[in-house]
Amino acid sequence: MMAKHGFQQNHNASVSGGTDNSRYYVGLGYTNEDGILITDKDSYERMNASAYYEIDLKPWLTTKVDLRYANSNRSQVEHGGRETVWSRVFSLPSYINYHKDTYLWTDGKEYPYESSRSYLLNNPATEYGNDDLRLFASVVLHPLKNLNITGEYTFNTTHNRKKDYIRSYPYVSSFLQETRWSAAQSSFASNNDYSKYNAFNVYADYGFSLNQAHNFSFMAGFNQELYYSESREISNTGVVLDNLPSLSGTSGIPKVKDIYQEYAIRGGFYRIGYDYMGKYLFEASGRYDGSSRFPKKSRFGFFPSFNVGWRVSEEKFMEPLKKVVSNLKLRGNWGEIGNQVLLKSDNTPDNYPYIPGMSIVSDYKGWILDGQQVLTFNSPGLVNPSFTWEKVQTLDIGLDLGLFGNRLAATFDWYQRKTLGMLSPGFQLPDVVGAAAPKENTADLKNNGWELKLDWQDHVGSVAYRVGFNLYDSHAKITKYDDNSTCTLFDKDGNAMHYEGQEIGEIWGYVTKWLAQEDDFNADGSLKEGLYKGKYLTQLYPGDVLYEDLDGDGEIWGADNTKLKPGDRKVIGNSTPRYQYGITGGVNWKGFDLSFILQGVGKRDLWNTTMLWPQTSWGANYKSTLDFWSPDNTGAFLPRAEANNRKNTSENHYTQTRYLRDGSFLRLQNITLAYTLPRQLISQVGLTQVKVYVSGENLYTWDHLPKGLDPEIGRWDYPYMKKISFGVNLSF
Amino acid sequence: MKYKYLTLLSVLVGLAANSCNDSFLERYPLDTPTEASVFISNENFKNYAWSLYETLPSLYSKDNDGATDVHTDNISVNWERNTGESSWIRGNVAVPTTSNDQPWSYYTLIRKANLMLDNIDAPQSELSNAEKKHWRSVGLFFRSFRYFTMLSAYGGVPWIEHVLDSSSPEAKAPRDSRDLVAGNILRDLKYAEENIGESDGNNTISVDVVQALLSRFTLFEGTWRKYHGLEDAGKYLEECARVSKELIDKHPALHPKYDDLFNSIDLKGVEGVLLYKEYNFALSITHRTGVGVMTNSRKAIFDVTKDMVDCYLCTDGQTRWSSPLYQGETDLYKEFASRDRRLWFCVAVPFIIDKGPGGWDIGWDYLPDDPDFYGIDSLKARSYMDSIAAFNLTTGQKTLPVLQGTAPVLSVPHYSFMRRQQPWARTQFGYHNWKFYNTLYNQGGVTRDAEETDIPIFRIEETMLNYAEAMFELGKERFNQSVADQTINRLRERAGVAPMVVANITAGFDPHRDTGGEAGYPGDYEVDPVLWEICRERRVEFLMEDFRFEDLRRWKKMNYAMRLKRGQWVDKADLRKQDKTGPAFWQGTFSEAECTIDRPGDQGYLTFHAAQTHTFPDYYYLYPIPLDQLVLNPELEQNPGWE
Repeated sequence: MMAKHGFQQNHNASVSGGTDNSRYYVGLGYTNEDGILITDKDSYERMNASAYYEIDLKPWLTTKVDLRYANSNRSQVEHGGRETVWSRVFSLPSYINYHKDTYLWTDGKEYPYESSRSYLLNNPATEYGNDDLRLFASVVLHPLKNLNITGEYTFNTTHNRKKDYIRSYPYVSSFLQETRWSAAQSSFASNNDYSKYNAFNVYADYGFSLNQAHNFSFMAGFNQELYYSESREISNTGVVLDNLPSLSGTSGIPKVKDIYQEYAIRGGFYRIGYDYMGKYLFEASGRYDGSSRFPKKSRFGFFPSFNVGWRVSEEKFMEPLKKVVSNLKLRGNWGEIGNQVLLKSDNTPDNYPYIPGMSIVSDYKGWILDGQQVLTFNSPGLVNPSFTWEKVQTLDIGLDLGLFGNRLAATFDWYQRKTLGMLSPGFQLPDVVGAAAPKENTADLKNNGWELKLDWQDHVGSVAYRVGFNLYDSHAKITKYDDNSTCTLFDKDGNAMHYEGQEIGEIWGYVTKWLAQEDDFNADGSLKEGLYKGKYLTQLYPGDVLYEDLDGDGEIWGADNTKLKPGDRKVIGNSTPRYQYGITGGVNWKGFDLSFILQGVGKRDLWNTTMLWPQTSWGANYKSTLDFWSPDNTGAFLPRAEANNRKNTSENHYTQTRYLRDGSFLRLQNITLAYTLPRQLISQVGLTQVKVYVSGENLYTWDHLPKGLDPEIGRWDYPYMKKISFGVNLSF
Repeated sequence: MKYKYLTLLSVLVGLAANSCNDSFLERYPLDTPTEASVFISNENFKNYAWSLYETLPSLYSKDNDGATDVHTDNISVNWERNTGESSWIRGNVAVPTTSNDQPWSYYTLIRKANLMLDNIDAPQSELSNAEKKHWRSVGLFFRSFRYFTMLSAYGGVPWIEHVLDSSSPEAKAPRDSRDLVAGNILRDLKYAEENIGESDGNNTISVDVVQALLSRFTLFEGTWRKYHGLEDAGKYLEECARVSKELIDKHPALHPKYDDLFNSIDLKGVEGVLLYKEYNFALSITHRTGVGVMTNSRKAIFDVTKDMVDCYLCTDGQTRWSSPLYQGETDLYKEFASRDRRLWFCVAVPFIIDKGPGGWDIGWDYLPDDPDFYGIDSLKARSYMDSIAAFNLTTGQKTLPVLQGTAPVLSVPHYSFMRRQQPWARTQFGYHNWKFYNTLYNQGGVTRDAEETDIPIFRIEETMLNYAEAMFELGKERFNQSVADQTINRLRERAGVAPMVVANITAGFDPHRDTGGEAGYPGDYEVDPVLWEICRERRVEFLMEDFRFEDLRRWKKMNYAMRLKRGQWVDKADLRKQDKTGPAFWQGTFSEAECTIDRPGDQGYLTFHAAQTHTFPDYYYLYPIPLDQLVLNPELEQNPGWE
């Protein structure tokens, strides 16, 4: 289903310039990408334009107008039959040895054969379109020497479109035993949404110095935003013309859903700064904001911050070291910002979270009347009438270091971020109330981390080189979470739940002892002393997994499924990427420049079972899944596999230490070779710079996962692509 | 000088900040009403009430393991040996940690109903008195429907009559007594019966539906009290007799075709169907039962048991143990001859097809009459279809062979242990469950996994049987021939079975009647012969309609479900011969290991799960309350035995 390669092109042109009192810029860009799947159904195209013009009408009055526009279109095949394009690939490619696109059925007709390739050939692509227009205008007044007053206005409108035609056609199943429909009925959907955003800022800044040593600056202003959106989804079934799908050409009963929303924000902000001789720096700033998303009495929040800095390298006592230490600055910062974006269960923002709405149920499936749908309402949830902004407090301490005339530059930061009062469900209510607990500011999260960046640049003769290294790490922990007071670990679907004291990304699992061998059993089939089986299991067999009985009760199980009584489970790893790093470098000689970027993750545990277990029914097996236990292969890595009969298979597949994967990796993200033509050559033609380059992206990844699995994606889906590109930059 | 400007600036900013909290930041939803605007006119209440209809039970489908018959002696889930048997039977029901998928979660529906009830008399409602009574009745119907479910599962539960919020004290109240809950349900349903107005359209809650629920509830509660040693059985049984009689008198006739009730695209206007769930393909409201139960190969193999098949009477009205018409159980053709026609509609009738050299041909009519070859004459199968055709109003609903698209099932029975290279549509017991199977889901020869046949929720046959049982429980003499004629004999007439003559039902009428005293069950009572026949009729009429489990629980007879579940009688020597001498396409697929029978040797009844070695504990008659509810409300007490 994959083509050998896909082709992408990207072109940009811009003009900029100015006079004594004006500046302008106009730019145009175009991108077109044809994806790597067969057919041209997966593609992306974008056109964008931007322009600005700034003019000093008077010595004390400057105006600027800035316009940006982008139009993009994307298409991809999203539907298949019983599965989607990507899940089908993994399913059963090897069950039946048939690899053509169609199959001759008993009725004499050729039907498509169920495969990912035929999904791509037979299903139309879903098309997305997007328009985004942003206008920006500003006026800057300069009435006094040190005073500027700025007024800005932004207007942004977006328009999204989606056309989705699902074809219904018969195909032969991969078992060659029956014909099925790709979809119960054909359907066509057309979605449109429109949004408009207005923002208005006015602020004044004033600065002055005393005695050429004390520098003061002040800034204060006002900000207001209003956002409105509406969206419409219309779909219908029974598409009549297969090659010209449209809503008018459908025969069923249309379904329509529309949504109208808005939110508003208003606030004031200030900043006060002071520095002495550029050596000691202080700054205090803050915001006072109100949002329409909160109830009147808790609508506003105040969020201050403070910065201090000390440029040690400017001190007298650092004078003798100037040759070595060209720059040393210590800085500290404590700040608080507020968050008012509360997401609904479908991950879109909730603009009216404190108003218990009884939304209309569109497309109600619970009851119909004589073949007609009926309209009904959802019952209102419980709301807490006093919830307010989430606060994010960050404390950051850092230093900037420049050595040897800034040939070596280093920065280091350590930070702690606390998110307080996250809007999440409060204490769970007894079911007799009949509704879920209202969202309240009840959860707190703490995040600790640090960052280090080193850069070295120098030259040897006419060869200039540069090397850079960065390393960063962080981890987060939930410090308060009311909703799960019992600290239950997993919900009924097996999804991990949040609880107080949870390290984000922690993986709970069992500790594997070893795979049971023949001599771990007594003659009657029971396990020897010290070995235990799952509590709900009838019988263990050689080749099954033996786990450690951590709670010592003689059985392997999850007990209460809570943090205090997890049974035989414990935290066996953490899926947060740790010690992430990047290495960059480059060499420059006589117009040639070679540079590279490497990026990687130092430590990460993954519980990922893609291409791990052998499939025992309805699935394909890969090389990595073949080392399973059998009497001839007792030293195998994987437990025994049983054909089409689950027996103890699910018990062997618990999250456990033996099969925890190492998600660390190193990727050669970019390597570029560029050549800039010499000035003398091109200036004759009126050009100021000509640069040609060839670059490769994602050329190689070193990781610990089976071949074919990308450590950042982790599943069968559109992969990261290796890209090789050629380009030319011209400047006039 | 600069300071003047500074102060001006700060004043401006201050002004701006103060004007902050004005109407610019007051934004209300543009497309969502609130409680204050939803409950005003009659039309508003009608629209809101549709959201309550969602709770009415939908049809079992392959993905919904809700067929409760698997917990009884009717059906055996024959997919995974032993571990796949119902937890109620295996005795490993775990106390749930949350109320997801438990009856306790119906409190959300109770809240929805209470929301409507609380708003009927609110100041902004503009309903007339008659309208108020009607909507109150509709709300009470739904609320009672779900309190009934919870009463049956748990016994007494907290009784909540109004909408609660996070600070209500009722949220932490202890459980109310069974007497209070049952009494309130009775009170509410009687109010609804008196006060419900004209229905809101075809197939909506009407006085008939309320009466049907009242009949169902009072029979359940009355018999539960009687057999579980509680008081006041009589009050409920009298109420059952009264309301059932009234309802039967309004609907004395049945729809003449049994199969139509479960395999029709549209149940509108069908006699005896009081309320049904409508499905519609164009609106994408569909289910998968026909495909799921009969022809699929995955999770569900819901085989009918031998005990169930033996329960069907012969056409002369006698049991298969005593009737001269019974031809024996050594093959399905004999076993199914001259039986209650409902057997043919519920358990797939036998046939066999030939697969030609080219592919899956349906050349099934004329197999050679080979005496060595198992002796199946497929023309016999034809005679069954002719008889079924006589009972079908619309032809083509149930046809032979069973089809999925144009692919036919190779034979019935199609054993799991002798698959003949067809992995789907298997049975371990020989008895395929095909009550909901019909060919309406095959579109142009291709299976459509989306069926739109309607399913009845309340039908008059149930009320008739409720009446018969209630009258008997109130006193043997009250169940006389006249009652039998109005109820059981109407069902029998449709099923092609001779009518019941009460006087002829003596102690020996059914030699396999339950005479009580089963070992391990102290207090196990004998079932009166006439009651046994009434219960037989109920069992046969309602196979796979989620009645048997509730019936066994209220009668305190779950011991029936604990007995070894068996299938057809087979002779392994015969099967081995078939495997070698049959047509080429099915040779060599017989698996000795998978063909388990209940005794050593080659002949016996097919089995799948091993016999249970424990008895059904008394405390299993009530469900356990989810653990997290007990933690959230320490006043709640767990049902005894589950601590």
